[in-house]
Amino acid sequence: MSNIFRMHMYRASKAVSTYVILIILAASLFMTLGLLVIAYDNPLTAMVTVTMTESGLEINRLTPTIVHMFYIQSSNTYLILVTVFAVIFTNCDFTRGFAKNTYSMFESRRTLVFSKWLALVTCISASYIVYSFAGLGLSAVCVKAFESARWGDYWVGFFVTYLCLISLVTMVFWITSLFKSPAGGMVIGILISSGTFALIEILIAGLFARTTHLDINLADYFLDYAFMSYNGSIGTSATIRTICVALVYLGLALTMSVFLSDRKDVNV
Amino acid sequence: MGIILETDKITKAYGGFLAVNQVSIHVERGEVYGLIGRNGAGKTTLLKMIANLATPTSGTYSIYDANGQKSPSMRSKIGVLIEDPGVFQNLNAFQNLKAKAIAAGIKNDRYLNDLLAFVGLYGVGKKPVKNFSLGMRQRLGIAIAMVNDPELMLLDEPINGLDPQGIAEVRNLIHRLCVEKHISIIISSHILEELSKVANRYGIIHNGVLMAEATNEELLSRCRPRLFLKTSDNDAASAVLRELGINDFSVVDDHIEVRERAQEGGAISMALAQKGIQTLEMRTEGQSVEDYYFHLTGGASYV
Repeated sequence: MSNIFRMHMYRASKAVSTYVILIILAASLFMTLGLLVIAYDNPLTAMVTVTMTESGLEINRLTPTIVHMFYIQSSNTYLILVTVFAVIFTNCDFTRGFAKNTYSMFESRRTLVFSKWLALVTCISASYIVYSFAGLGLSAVCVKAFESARWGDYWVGFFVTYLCLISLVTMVFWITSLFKSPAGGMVIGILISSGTFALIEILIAGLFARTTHLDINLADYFLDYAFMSYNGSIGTSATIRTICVALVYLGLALTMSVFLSDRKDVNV
Repeated sequence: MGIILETDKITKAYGGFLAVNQVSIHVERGEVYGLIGRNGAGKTTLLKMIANLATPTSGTYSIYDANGQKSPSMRSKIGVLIEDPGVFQNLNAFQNLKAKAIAAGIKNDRYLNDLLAFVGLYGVGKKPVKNFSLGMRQRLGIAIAMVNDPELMLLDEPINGLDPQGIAEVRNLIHRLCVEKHISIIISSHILEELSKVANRYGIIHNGVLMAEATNEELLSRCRPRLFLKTSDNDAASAVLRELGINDFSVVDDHIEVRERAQEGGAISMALAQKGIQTLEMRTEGQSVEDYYFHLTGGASYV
């Protein structure tokens, strides 16, 4: 398993697309910083968190959590780039036919698929950590030192968005593996990460609510809607629901990717 | 030497279409097995199933180690070059080899350089594979298949699209793989002439069905000329043939099929006449290996 993992890391490190995406990510870091400055200076922009403390309501304008959510979630650039990378990474050895060389070496494809997913998650995790902290550092230096640094809240938000991100990437991994089409995977991935699917989900949830008269927002149970609507809050039922939704989608997509791989022919 | 691979009624169906239909082939260790059939005959599908790239609908295949035992570890001892060489176009030859080597757990860069030298690609430097000629790509594909020292290689139409020089290079490479590296090879092609230069055993496949399996010698034997002889008294004629020292013949329906000294029709006819036996019809029959192949696969127009 570790050999296949290392092989995928090696090929990713040699791929031109990896470096192109890294350059765009770096550019996006600064573009997002610019947007953050504009939003901070604009009194109409709600870059505010309200927290109940022992001394009453505490209003904070710029917290690490707000900055984190702004970089990862509000600005779609990061999510779109991550999706594009996931599609290219997942498809690369199939479009180039290299998968024939590796798939013929193993009796079961499950290890191969799991190792590839692990390599993808490693790359995405590294980008998430670097992008988040770089964004945080740039904001602290260029915008304003954080007025109230509730680091405990920050780490919860950091973890929940990470979980949602990995779950989203795993969904893209599964869809791309299933259809073996870079173009199809890219379109679906971008539609998910840009929030276009969320609109459809809101529509489905609305129709569901009208027909069943149940007090349930079905959209909350769609991964991308749950991800997009998560605001970095902690300890609420919404947070717990978001974690559960992300875990369920992650588990399902990974299980489907790994366990169905033995049944499908490798068409390269 | 023993068998390295056998398939037992292996079948692959796509919906109602049988791409491979109950094919049973046997590949001996150290031999070059030529899989011949027209385009769409099922050669690639058969190789894909053996390479674990396609799941058989029914039937099985077994791979044996040097001790003649079925061994799961033999899976990693199969090198494949199926359809196009599977390479990353932006990487150079060494990097492509390195990617496969990492997957196989090989860390020795010198081993990879030796492989490149073996296929004549040592010194191509940092040139990306996308700038390689087709022949160079095919040789790189063979080098990638050689990573991890395979005992069995599956080469699917490796000379397709190559110029005469490229064909000669690949043919020479296949010969060296067999002689120097002792690798058993299954090579598919729809060009019998080319296959006959490297293979020493054949499987003829048509419409997914294995029509015949034969060694070079068996194939030549099946195709050698024979004498069709129709006489007024076939029993008496048989005795005359024995007197002439001809024993490889048989009486079939109303005629005799002589498989030995078939070119001596004149002498046989004279000997029969001396014994008062009338020759009613006599002709030499026979076919080239190519004719035999066409006969099995439905004619030259298909190829």
